[in-house]
Amino acid sequence: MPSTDLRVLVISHGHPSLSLGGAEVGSYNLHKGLNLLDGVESFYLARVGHPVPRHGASALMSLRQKDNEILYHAENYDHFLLSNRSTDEIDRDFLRFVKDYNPDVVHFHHVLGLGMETIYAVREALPDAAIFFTFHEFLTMCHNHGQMVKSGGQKLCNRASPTECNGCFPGVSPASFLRRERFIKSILDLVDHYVSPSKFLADRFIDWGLEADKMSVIENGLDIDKKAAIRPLTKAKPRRSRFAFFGQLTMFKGADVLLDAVGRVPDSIWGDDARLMIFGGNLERQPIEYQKKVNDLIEKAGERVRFYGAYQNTEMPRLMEMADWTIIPSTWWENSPIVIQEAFFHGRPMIASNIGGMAEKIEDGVNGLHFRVGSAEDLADRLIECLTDKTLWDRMHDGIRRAPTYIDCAKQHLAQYREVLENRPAVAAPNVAPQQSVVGA
Amino acid sequence: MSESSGLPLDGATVMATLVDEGLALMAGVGSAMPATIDVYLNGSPDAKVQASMISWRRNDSSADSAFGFVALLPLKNVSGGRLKKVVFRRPGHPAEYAIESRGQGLEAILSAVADQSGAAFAGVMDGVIEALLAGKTNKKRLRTVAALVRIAANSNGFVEVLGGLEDNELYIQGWSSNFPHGRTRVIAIEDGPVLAELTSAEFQRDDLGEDATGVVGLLATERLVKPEKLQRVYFRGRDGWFGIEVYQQRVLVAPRDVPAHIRSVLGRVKAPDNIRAQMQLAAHRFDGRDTVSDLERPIRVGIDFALVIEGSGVLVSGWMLDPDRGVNQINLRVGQDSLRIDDAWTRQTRPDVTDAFVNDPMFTGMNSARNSHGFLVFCPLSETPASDQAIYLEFDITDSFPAYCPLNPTRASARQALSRVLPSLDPRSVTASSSIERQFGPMLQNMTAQSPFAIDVHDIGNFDENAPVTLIVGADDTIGDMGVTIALLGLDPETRKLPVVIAGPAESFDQVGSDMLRLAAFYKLNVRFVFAEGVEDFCDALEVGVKATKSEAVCLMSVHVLPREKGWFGPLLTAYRKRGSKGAVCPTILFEDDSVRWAGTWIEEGPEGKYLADRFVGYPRAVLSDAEPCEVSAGTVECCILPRSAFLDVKGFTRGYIGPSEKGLDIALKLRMAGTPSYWLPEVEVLGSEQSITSTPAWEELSHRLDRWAFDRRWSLVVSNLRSHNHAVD
Repeated sequence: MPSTDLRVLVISHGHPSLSLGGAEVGSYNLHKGLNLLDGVESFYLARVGHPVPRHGASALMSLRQKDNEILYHAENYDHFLLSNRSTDEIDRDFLRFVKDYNPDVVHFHHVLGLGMETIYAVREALPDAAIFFTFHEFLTMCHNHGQMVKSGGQKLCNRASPTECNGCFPGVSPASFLRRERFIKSILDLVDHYVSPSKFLADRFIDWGLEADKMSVIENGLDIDKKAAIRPLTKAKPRRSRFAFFGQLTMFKGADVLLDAVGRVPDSIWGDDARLMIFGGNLERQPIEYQKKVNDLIEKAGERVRFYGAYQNTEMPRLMEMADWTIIPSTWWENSPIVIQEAFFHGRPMIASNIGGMAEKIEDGVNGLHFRVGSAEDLADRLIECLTDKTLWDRMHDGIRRAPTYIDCAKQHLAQYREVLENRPAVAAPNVAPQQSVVGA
Repeated sequence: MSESSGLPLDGATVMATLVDEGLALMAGVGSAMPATIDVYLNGSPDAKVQASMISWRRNDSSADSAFGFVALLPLKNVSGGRLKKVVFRRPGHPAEYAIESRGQGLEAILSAVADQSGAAFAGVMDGVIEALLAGKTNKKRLRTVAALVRIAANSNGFVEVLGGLEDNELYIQGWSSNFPHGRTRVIAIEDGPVLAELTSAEFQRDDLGEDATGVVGLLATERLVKPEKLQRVYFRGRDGWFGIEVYQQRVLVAPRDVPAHIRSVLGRVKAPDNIRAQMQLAAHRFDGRDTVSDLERPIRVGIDFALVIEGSGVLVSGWMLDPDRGVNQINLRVGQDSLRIDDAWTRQTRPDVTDAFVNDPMFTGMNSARNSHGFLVFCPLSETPASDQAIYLEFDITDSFPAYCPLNPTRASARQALSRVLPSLDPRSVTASSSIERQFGPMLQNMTAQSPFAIDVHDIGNFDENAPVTLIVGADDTIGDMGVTIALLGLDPETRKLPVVIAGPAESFDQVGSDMLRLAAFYKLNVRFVFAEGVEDFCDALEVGVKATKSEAVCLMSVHVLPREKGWFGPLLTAYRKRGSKGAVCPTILFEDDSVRWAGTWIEEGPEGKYLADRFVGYPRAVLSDAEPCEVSAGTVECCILPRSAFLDVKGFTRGYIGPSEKGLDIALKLRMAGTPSYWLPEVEVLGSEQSITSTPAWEELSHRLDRWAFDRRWSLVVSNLRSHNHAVD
């Protein structure tokens, strides 16, 4: 075990063993990566809620996770203000643990369910600690699930403001949105450094009013052992003609656009070897109109589409082996979806909407193709290119750069932690007295 | 009676006593004197009064003492303050009487008179009572009269049934053998005597002997007499005074049942037409029922709502159909108060009423193109009626008894009332303008609502009420929004150590109180929470908050205002101190989109004279980039720091506005007139967004017009004479 001079507490709104979202995975990978580095230790605190039952005496629990992980049960949550109404439990349980662990860095990856108040509580309890906050989407500035998409439709939103947000939520006054903004910004102001996995997201938050000097872009790191083999081509049909969609079938992920596009490719080009494979679930949780639309499109696409349902992350390499291309047709901005890194890790070029984090991470004509967001026609054209240009796949494949691993990512974070701690006026040096902590990682 | 020394019979001395401060009663003997006679008090020509003389003949006496007399003398200009003699200016030479030096009580004098007058005593008493009642009576004199009547009167009959009517009237029913018929002045005995006018008639009954007859009467008393407390009624019968006792087992008729009871006996009443007519009117008094609907003629009324505005009056909205113009007038009746409404109401278009009645056979004569059946009227009342007080409309109808419409009003504040009425008015309509001028404006002006008062106080942290400066945050019914304010105050190092008063309406406490206390504790603030009755807007709350601290300076802040950045308070306080801690210093207020909401209120001059206006409203924030701190004509209470004493010296906010806008302007002018100028500090910015997204434009526009109307009534003259501060920004 290397000597430790830096103690980090990584806080997430969910534990990946209970909820496999991008932020959960990203934060957990960071925690794991940090613990593999010299001179640093990390503890992981994740929020749990219903249906997990809690203890009566404490909101803290372990749920038989690892020794350096702890869960914090929080339910009494105001989704509008991102506020935890159980401030007494923050004082009693959350802070008890934070003080006992006494980290040098507290890195929030989300406050969903935990509440903005936890940031304030940490600031009060540990005035010398550096607080980091990673943005995984726009929840702090956008009440519409943090998507920056206009409510009631698919229209993209370019800027959040009390007046524009009232346009999305006519029942909520601009005054209420102003209060929301002031509250959240004032708490975010307590944070020493912001991290964004994409420049696109970082720029949006800077434009919203956060200090640019406090913002870094650090990609989420991957934790994958085995690279998927390239699909062997048959002699009869030597085409890179297998397309895959990985993700939730939510309205913002654009599966409907993709299905529509597939149906538009002429039979003569599609042939009998091309195929779209959909790996993902939760369609049944979407609005009924959307379900109907997708089901109709699947029926119309007929044999061209195969619907595989939800998958586990561990299955990804095997599933990827079946595909040549991966497609991310999201109709919202995305930030830095893990599926892009996974596809690149496995050497699969991507076809993506030409906006936000997707446009940033996938270089058009280098390691993938862009199409106009929401345009089935444009996406159909890209599919036709893929099916007709015999050298395209190889060119795109060669353009893929190595995706950073979670260890690379942890190293970048560690460097940033040290820089912030060194430049903090109140802190002369990082905490070098690990015995001050009563909770060991 | 006490022992009497006897009536002086020398013709030169009188016994005397004071009936009250203004009237003396004397008794003696002398020659014949007229019923009224001039008297010189103490013989002084300056103290001439006219006395009432009640005399009786004394047989077997000389001419000089042929008559006994009782004289009632008004007292004025009594020289030396003590009456020693009186000179009666009778025909021939005056008669001088010395006043017996030994003071005698009234009873002693009457006893002496009784001894001397014998059989004539009853007549003498009668005369004395009449004379006492003839003038303006007062309580003491009436008590004297009652005492005399009690001596003189014989018991005669019983009141067996009685009940109260409105207008201080009692209905009585019983039997007597000597009861007057017609109109008579009587004395009712409750706890004390009450002068009353009796309208009475014979009432046919078969259960009485020959001498006795049934009697009914309406007793109009000078003041309210409770039926259950009435003991007897003294009346002048054909041959003297009598008392009709209220029977111990009497039947008390409930007020609402009295008219029906009178109707049931009217058929057996024998009375002249004028008396019968009065009895019939009483039989058709308001008894709680809607009798307009029972009218067999085309008159109908409907009430949309009736609101008792506390400390102001009654607001009634409804409609009335009267195509044949049968209604002479309509009065709102509240106890003794009667206010005519049909000459003061504002008519409203109500096509729905036309539609509802156009096919009714009774209303065939109605002009279906005419829709102005609605009415809205405010009736000012000097006192808020008790909750059980009947309030109704009384219709005076040609050739008919009055008809009534009960109102069953609910209580509301002026603001609640207006929020109910204003949204239904078209702000462009004549009705709206008329309503403001004739109904709502006077309603607000008349308002004497109690200032809000704290009923629940909780301290969190170490609240120091003697700290030099306290931040007061005032909340209205949106107090739920206070959570973010508390958080922002806790996140700002400048405000987190300040004592903070958070004041809001008491009715919100149950819903949000515990949350507020929790948040204040979480953010480690030192807060005094004050929840108060009567808080309708943030101004009311600020007023309560200011009274909850003893600080020399207070920083007022509406819950609708948020700091734009932390560190706003320090510069504001510094600017306040820099001005000698004497003025009111206000920051810039921006809308949520960073446009200007408030950047000083200034005197402007238009074609119709000077007026107050907020400058730069809606302009981009950049327009203020070069602005310097300066004095303004009026500050804003949405956010300002000022001496607490200055606020209290002007007695806080003026009642009589619906919204906080003019209320705030009003206090700013009051402060200015009292020597507290307002300053604007451009570099400090706070945010204040529009609150309402649900109010209709009509409500907002009309309430603003109404407040402006009320403001202009109070301030237009002052504003026209105000010195402008425009040079400060020009």
